[in-house]
Amino acid sequence: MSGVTLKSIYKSFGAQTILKNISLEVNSGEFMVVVGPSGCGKSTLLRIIAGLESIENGDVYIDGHKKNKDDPSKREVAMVFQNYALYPTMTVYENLAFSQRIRKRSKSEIQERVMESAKKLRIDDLLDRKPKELSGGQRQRVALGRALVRKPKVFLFDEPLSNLDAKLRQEMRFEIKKLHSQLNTTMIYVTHDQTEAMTMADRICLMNDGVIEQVGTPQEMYNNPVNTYVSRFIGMPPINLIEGEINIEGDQAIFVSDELKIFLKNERIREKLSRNSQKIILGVRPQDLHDNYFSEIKDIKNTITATVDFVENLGSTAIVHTHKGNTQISGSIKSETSIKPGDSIDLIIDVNSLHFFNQATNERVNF
Amino acid sequence: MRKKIETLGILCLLILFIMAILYPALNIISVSLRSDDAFQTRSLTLWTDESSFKSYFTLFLETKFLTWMKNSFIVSFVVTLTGVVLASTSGYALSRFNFIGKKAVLFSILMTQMFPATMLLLPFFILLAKFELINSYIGLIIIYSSTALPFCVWQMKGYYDTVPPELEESARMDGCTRFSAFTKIILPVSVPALVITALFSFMASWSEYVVASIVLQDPELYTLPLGLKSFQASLATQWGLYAAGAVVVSIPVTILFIFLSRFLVSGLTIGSVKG
Repeated sequence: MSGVTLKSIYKSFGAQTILKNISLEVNSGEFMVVVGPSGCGKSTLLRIIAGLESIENGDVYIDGHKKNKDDPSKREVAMVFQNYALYPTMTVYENLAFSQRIRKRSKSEIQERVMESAKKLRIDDLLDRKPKELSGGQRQRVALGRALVRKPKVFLFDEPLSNLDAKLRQEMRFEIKKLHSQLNTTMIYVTHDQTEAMTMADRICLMNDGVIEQVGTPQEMYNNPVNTYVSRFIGMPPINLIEGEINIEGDQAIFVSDELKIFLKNERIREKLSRNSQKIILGVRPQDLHDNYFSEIKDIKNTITATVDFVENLGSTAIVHTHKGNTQISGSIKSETSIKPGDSIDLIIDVNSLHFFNQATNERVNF
Repeated sequence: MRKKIETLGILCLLILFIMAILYPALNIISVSLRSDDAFQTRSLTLWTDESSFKSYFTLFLETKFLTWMKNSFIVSFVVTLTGVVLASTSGYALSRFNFIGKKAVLFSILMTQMFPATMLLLPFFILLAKFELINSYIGLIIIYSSTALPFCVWQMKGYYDTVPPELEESARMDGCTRFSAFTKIILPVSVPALVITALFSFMASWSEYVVASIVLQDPELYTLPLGLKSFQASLATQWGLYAAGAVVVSIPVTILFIFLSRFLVSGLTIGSVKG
């Protein structure tokens, strides 16, 4: 088992700097998901670890050894590509065996390794087929199998599920996680899908515009986002961010925006606030808004009456998109609701789960 | 009814085209079987009472046809091999690597195609004369290769552009060097383009006359087109021999085409990446 360490990585394509001072420690046996929007540099980072891209500055360590200049073939890492990249002229067996033949292993050892991987991924009945005779899901399994046969020190996944339909994606997520728990090998998984990141990762590394915004467990990222960017990216539906200020009225801290007035519970706010008033961005997760009609706990002071714009029914829950004046607010509520666009809805804000961010820096403010 | 007339019209047009293509070929076969004095006959009959294989026997037994054929094979084989090796590697470099002057290289390769071959004859002749390569296979091979290569390089580059780079990246992750990823993965999926390159290079040298007539002066070194032309004298032409030679000359190209055409299949990369 081996970890991966990146130290101060810089990478540019022409005049454009793609990665800016990236440092990341992936522990041995860890499932690290690198997540971020398209063009943030996450795939480039993976390709740098793989050795498919050079770096201008910084160091790449795999299993404690510096690998900056090593050829991909010498890094003992396996990569699963977004578009499978199966060898089209070879059968599934030959695809799986290719890396072992290059390493000149004996026929019996190759056979043993291929069969072991094929059985693990349930593709042992496809070994004589060519890639063009396989479905998308089967091709993805073969691509996984090809990596598995190598028994590498580190697995790299470059958005491997983005070409699959939703159901298959969920199945494969489970397969990959199962594989990780069986092998206990370091895996670095790149995706733009926060759901994939949240469901699969031991730890998440969230990137934006060539820099790392935050590294942490899914729960840390969700509960304690370090800035508004992280809070928006992690969590579905996205967090509500409302600009306003916190005022102290007597013993009570109150968040006030153009349309909202929220009575805050946290006693420490008063102690921490340097002035009697502070500009702030309030973050409320849609899951922390409750439909007053169904909610057992009532909080009249912190109930907003908003107008429903539209409702997305997800089965177990429904996402209501509402507005109060110019403030857009989304809530995740019980799906039994019969609420329709244009209706009024009373949403109770759970004041125990609020997030606060500095308006100037967008950084988290811990009260 | 209207559709039937349309179909009939298309069929008639196609038959006309096929006849236009087949007539010269059939005519030359017919002439090769006649005696020289029957050349002017207007009959299209392939086999008449006077027909015989005499011209073919004469061709193989009494002329240097076999020597010319050997010469043509040597020249065409080397030109084809050179074309395939150089075009496949340089096309790959131009497709995959970014280097200073890449655009200029591509443009200048394209530029060479804009000059007619006859315009280049004089500079080629001077060049070969300076290197003392006149009257040699090597001189001819150099000229044929240099005229066929630009097209081959461009078309190989164009094909490689359609091959996903992830294929060789994947091979490199699997343990290949860049070169072995190229030979083991990229070349096998590029077979259709390689076949086109091979056919183009072979045809460009096999049936070429003008350059050969400038470079080769010794009848022992003649290639087939030059040899055939030698049957044409100022006062009399041995049309039977000429036609028989033409028929035999076309056979290797036909066989090569039939053999290679099964590799001219599209979609070799299907299944490798998400379609």
